Amino acid sequence: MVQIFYQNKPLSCAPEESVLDCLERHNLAPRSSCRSGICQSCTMAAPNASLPAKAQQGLKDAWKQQGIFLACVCRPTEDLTIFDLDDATTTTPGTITQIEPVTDDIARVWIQAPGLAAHAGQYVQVIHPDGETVRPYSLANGGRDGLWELHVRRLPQGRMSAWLTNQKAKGQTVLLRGPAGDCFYDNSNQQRPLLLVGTSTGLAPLWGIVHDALAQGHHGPILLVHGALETRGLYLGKALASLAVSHENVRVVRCVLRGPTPEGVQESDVRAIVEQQFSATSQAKAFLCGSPDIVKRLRKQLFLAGMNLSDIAADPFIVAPQ
Amino acid sequence: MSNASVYEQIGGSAAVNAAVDIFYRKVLRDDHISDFFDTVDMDAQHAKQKAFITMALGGPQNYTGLDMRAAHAPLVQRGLTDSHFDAVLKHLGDTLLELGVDQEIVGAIATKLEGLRGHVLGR
Repeated sequence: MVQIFYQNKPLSCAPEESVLDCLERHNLAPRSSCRSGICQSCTMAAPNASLPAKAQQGLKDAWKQQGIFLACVCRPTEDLTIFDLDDATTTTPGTITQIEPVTDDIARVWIQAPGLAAHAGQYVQVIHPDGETVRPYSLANGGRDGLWELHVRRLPQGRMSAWLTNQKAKGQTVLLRGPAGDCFYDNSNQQRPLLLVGTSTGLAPLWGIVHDALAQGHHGPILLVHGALETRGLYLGKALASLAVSHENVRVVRCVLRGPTPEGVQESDVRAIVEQQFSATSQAKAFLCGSPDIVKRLRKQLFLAGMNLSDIAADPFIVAPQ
Repeated sequence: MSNASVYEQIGGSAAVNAAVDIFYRKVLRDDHISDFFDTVDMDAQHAKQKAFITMALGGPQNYTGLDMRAAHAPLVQRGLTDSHFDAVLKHLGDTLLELGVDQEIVGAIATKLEGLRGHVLGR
């Protein structure tokens, strides 16, 4: 049986067991969130070890070389010595400067973090002052003057989201780790059609990407689709409408699965809107963010319709188990 | 013309990426076999198919018959049969023809892949 050495203790790891499951079974759990290799909350380090490729999926090359890996998807096949990551060397501090509620349970949150270098649309791990709670959030802007914007939906029993959306968090310091993710604008082809589809706070990265694309002079057509179950999941409607008015290459569709529908909102499913209003060619680029189920189905739909898989950036928002 | 040169002839790794997109689309659209390919992790599936097509074209890879047997054993459990194997061969052949590979070479590739049938189907 494979042994994991952690804090000078040997721990036996069952066949097919992940490092995260093994540590939890020994009551030594590191921080974690999505448990599926996406959010990067459970990163640990195993310097000089030979790690399964899956254990380092999506990490930047510099991290891979340092032996940083994702505990939740690392199923070791040989003995492994592992360490916690030192927050001091892998994170940037940020101060929460403003919390603006935009619906009953969604707020725009601004964090002053001049040390963060990222593209609008990528995501960071936000580390709570308790040092234990870590959750990924997408960046809704490009950090102008070191001020970064997040869109936070308060979840039932959400340890991070309830705290971040409460005015008491203003002035507090969090740590940010990252960035990660490939949902961001790349100006190599400014003519190509862009499709941006988000559900609920999946709008956050899209809000960042569409502004970045326009600021960089993208002149191909842009279709932004914002969907939700009900209207309470939609926000920034006026701002989106004026974006479409001031840029003739931008179209915005807002839709909900269940009515009632206020003016400017359709009762439809985002996949149907995309099917009807977007021509999925091999020239196009798509960004899909939000509900994992919708992101997955839409990715397949666009691929089957003719887009290259590598041109479909997907950012499924996976809610951490409570 | 050898298979190794087919891999180079169509443009190596980059061209195989294009072939994978075409091939993957064909199998996902084919109700007879799509269930075997439909997965949450499209990127991992894409990588597997790239390895498969690279092998089929004689490019650099290190598959063995035993790997093929082990990799497909769970699918055999789920009912993988000759008709599914045939469908995959057909979609691969059509993909290569679409990319302009000669009929004769496509035939040679199919003959080579025939040799894997027993491994893939666990016989």
